[in-house]
Amino acid sequence: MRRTELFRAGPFRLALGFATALSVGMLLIFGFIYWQTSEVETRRMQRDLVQEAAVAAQTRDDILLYQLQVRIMSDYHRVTVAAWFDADGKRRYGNLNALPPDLPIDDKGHRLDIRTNDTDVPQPAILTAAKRADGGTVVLGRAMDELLALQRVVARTLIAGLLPAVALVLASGVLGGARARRRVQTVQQTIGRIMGGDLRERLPLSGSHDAVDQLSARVNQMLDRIVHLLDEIRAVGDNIAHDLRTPLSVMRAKLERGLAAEEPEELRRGAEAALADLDKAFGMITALLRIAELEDSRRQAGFTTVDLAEVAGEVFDLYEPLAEAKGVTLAREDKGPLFVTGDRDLLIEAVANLVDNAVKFTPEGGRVLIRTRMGGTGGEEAVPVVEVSDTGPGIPPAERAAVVRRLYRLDKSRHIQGNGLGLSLVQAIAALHGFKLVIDGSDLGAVIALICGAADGEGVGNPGAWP
Amino acid sequence: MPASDTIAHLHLVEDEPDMAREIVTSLEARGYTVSHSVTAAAALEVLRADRSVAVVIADRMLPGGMDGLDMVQELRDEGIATPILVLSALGSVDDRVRGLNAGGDDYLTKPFAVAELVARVEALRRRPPDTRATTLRVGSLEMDLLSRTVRRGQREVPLLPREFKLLEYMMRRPDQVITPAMLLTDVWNYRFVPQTNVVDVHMGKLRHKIDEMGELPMIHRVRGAGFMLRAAD
Repeated sequence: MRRTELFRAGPFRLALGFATALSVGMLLIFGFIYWQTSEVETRRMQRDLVQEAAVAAQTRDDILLYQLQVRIMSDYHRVTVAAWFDADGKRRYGNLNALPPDLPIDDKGHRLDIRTNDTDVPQPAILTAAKRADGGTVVLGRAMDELLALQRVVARTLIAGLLPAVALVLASGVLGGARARRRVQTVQQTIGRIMGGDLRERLPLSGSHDAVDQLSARVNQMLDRIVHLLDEIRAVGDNIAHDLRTPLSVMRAKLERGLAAEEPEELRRGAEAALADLDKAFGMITALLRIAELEDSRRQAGFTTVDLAEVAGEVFDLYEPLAEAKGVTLAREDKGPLFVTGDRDLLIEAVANLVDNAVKFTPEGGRVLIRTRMGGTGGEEAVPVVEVSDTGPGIPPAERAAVVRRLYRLDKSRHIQGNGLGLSLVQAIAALHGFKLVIDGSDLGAVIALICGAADGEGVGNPGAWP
Repeated sequence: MPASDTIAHLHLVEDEPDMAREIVTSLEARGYTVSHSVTAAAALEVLRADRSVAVVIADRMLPGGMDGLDMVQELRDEGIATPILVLSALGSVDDRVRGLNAGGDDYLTKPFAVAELVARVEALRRRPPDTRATTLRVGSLEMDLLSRTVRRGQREVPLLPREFKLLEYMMRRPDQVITPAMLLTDVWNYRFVPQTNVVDVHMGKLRHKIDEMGELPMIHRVRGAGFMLRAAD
């Protein structure tokens, strides 16, 4: 792990900031304690000493002596300084040998290093001196070693508390940073592998549901979707290749046979048949491009109010002769105009595809019905529906989702002419409009409906969603 | 099959050499004379100088900053009325291209059958005169546009509205090959081609009504191309 990377890791920087804040906070608290113990205590002691000294200066000789004796004797900790000098500076009583030369006699407290009879080395103390009426001097004082000791304790506590705390915070920052960095590194490596082509890889989840986890989960969902789309494209590609290879092989065979033929007429027939196959292949490409065009164009600018019944009528007119020629009854059922917002041409194309399929798959003597009505989507509101039902073989429920896929064709329909793109095209038109394509029916025939209302999810294969 | 009167001269604007060679060869094989240029600018030079060009066939995508549609605009701005057929790739049939159909010019998507190309060229070359006549006549076939009735000789032919429109379209273009795609765009106003060839069935029904048993056929099927209405006698 490179150091710069560690310092750049979010958690570490957070910990660093936290440690700084913690240190500042603790320093402030301890600073306050320190200030309290040293300054305030010192001042209080000075005030007391000054007062006592002032009183002592007025006290009668014998009582002063007695008081000084008591003061020294009762001081078990040897922190008291008490001395009485006469006007010549000679000691009359006390634990100081001589009047400290640098102590001004001004009834004020002073900090001095002083050596008493009880101590070997000079120690810091607060002293005050007061003049007596007879010219003598009373010196009262108190060693500050207690206070200093307290200050040392405070400082030690500060160091003892602050250093581990900061160390702890920084350590957790380092660990957290390293962990976060490891996760990011894993994610980066995984993404690297995915970009390298291994689309089955997924970002690891720690299970902690934190921000990184949530992000990873979303990325994984996105990858699922991409894989799904890629699979779809691959499937389409495979299907295109397969479906093109068949007519191309047949075409090749026909041309080869035509070239080998003795009769020029046979060559001609072969070429014509090959041309028809080629047109079939082009038709497929055309339809695929058309679907792609529809799926690309997200614009709905050309939408106007369209009468669904009129659309159905138009398609009915277009297919009626074809159905008749095939021996299929094409019927219409509508209850007056039914207005939707959409592209008239595209809606005609969609319904035409549905009817085209229905007529194609319905055997002779069967019936195809184009119905426009108000219907439900499973929700409260009834919306316009155009529905094409037939008496063909129907679409098995398991395959209903698949039939709208590009180039998907039911096995039993392989022999029927068509490129397997009709329903995909209808689905693309429905999606462009926000409509829903619902495939239903039984083995007595298919019922395919275009629900011209707000699509609320996948309509295909969801026959229970509407009556 | 150009009109019998004169040999039609066409001009092709196409930058793809293979495609250009094929189109020129196919059209020449059908009796046209074809000149060829690679850019719209070069084509404009030719068209300004040579007014004998009957129809211009222009690829939509052309090099040199001016595409086929720009060229149409430029020609119209200069007052040159030569009809233009724009060749468009499948994915690029947008509203601007479709607008050509309304403006008297036409478009065709690649790939196309040569028969379709020729039919479109002929349709552009022999645009029906904007006649105010209320009666159309082809041989013994007579259409009254006001009463919306059709007679063949003495026999009245009962037609459904769509059949009437189909026949009207054909009667305005006698002796011309009319392709299913032309009928879908011009008679039905559809932008799509149905999977099953429904136009054939419609034409079949119409043909049964026009050419009854024992009568000489007037509606002919042109192999690999479409249909043609021709006077029977």
